[in-house]
Amino acid sequence: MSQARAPGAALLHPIAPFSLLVLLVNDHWLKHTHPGMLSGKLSDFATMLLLPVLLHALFELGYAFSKGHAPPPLLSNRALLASIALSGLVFGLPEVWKPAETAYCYGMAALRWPFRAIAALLTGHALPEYRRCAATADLSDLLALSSAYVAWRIAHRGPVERAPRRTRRAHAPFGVCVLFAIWSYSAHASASSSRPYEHDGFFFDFALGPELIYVHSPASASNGFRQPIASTATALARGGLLELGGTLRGLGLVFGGGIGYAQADDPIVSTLGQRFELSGAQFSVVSLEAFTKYYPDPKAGLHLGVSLLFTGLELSGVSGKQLRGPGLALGAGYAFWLARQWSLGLDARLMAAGLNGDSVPGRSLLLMPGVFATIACH
Amino acid sequence: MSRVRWHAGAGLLTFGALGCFACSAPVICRSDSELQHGASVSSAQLSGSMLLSAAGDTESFYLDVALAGLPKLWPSSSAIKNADLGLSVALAYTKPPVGGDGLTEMPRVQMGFDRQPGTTTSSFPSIAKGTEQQLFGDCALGGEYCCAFGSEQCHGRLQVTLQRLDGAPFPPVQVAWTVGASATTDSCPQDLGSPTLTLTSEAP
Repeated sequence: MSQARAPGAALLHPIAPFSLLVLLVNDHWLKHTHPGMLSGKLSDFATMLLLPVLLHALFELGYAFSKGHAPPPLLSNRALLASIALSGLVFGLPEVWKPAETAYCYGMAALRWPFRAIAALLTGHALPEYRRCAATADLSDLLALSSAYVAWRIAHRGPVERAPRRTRRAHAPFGVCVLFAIWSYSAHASASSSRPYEHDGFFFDFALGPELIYVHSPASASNGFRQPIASTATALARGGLLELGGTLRGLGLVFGGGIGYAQADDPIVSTLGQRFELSGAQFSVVSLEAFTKYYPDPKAGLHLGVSLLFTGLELSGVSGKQLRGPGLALGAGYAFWLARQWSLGLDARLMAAGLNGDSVPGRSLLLMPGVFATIACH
Repeated sequence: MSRVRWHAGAGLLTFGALGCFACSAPVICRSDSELQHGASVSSAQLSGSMLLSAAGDTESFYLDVALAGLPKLWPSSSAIKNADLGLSVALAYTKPPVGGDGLTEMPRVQMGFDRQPGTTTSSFPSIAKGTEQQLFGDCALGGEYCCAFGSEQCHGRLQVTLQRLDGAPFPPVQVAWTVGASATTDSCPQDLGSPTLTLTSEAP
């Protein structure tokens, strides 16, 4: 797709109307005449492709209507990522979390009711009852999240070859989807046996807190790693972490996946015998992780954790390079029960990663110790 | 309870350590160099003259511009905030009335860099007429005389061309030219660079 595409025109890409056709034919004919795995999945794949493209097209058209011109490519692509993430949550969460499934069913019923009411009025029947839909969680439906990648390919603006860095960054949500899909199997397997005031079953954790960013690089941190000059940078960051997973029954072991983000203003850089504050610059760190946590006593709050990460670091606000690479995080913490499944706690965590970048000499070391206030549903 | 105290103490210690690590550095550099005070440097001015007698008469010479002493560590945008070369010419007849007073009609002279059409003097010139050429822009954005990111010195070679456009009935005219270069550089911390700008001319 070229940058000159009209707002909302991704809906006219041949794959989009084809998906709509698949959706209609499958829901209104194939599912009834040939029920089976194929008909069960086709609509999921089509929905997960169409929904983000539709949301994105609505955004582009709304923007063009209010501003008089198409949104800039960067903004448009961000809106597309948000649409994909939102679609993934709406589609995926009900498959693994009972409250989300309930909300989904009532929401769908509310959306359908006006149409059923109009049809009833037109045909002279009484107004229909408000009837929630029947949904059956099937984890294999999560495979349809992969359609989001096709949605990205047909709706994003700017050629892939010219913006490899952005494209790679855009792969992050799909990584999250994959992690989410894989680890939610274990969550679902144990969720049914969840007991109050015990660390078992489905695991959700949200953490916020300060982190120190320490970067030691053979490249110049102050201008976005664009020169082969060794430097060290430190900054105090605001960090956040979102984790989803499930517990292995009887072992106190939680497995899951998550995404972390930290942002630090005004880093302090040491290089060439000088030390200075880089005012107005920001370090941004994004990490995708697969984690395991161990609760020695499933009824108590003490836990230890280890995570494997893939991390990206960049100096925002400058046209510098992005560093990427694998890492490891170790953590420990304690959580106090707030309610039957909810706990509030404090975690300490140390993350280390070895990062590389295009045309950046050598490997940079990233260390991030941090302290987090956590809220968990377990 | 003692376990809780231990955890609280460890948390406070970690916060303290984070605060210490991230305490302010004495020097502040801005990531946006537009907001940062730059150092200005100028070259010595060069001058010369030439006689252009008839329409189409053209004279040219080369200028070498060198900006050295740039900081080893460049700021995030560029170490060169701006750099340009200024050329001005003044016309005079070889015999009275010499003109150049805004009242005497004189032949127009076009001046430009690297054979590109540039500025033309007016038919009634009163003050020296000039033109400018931007130098040492970001090579990522293209441009002829760009300076690669991270360079400690940059060099540009330009050809200056002066051409008389009008012929008879105007008599021969003496064209006096003056050329100088200036640049504003950005280095933070400041003692990482000490820029100098030199300009030399050479006949073709």
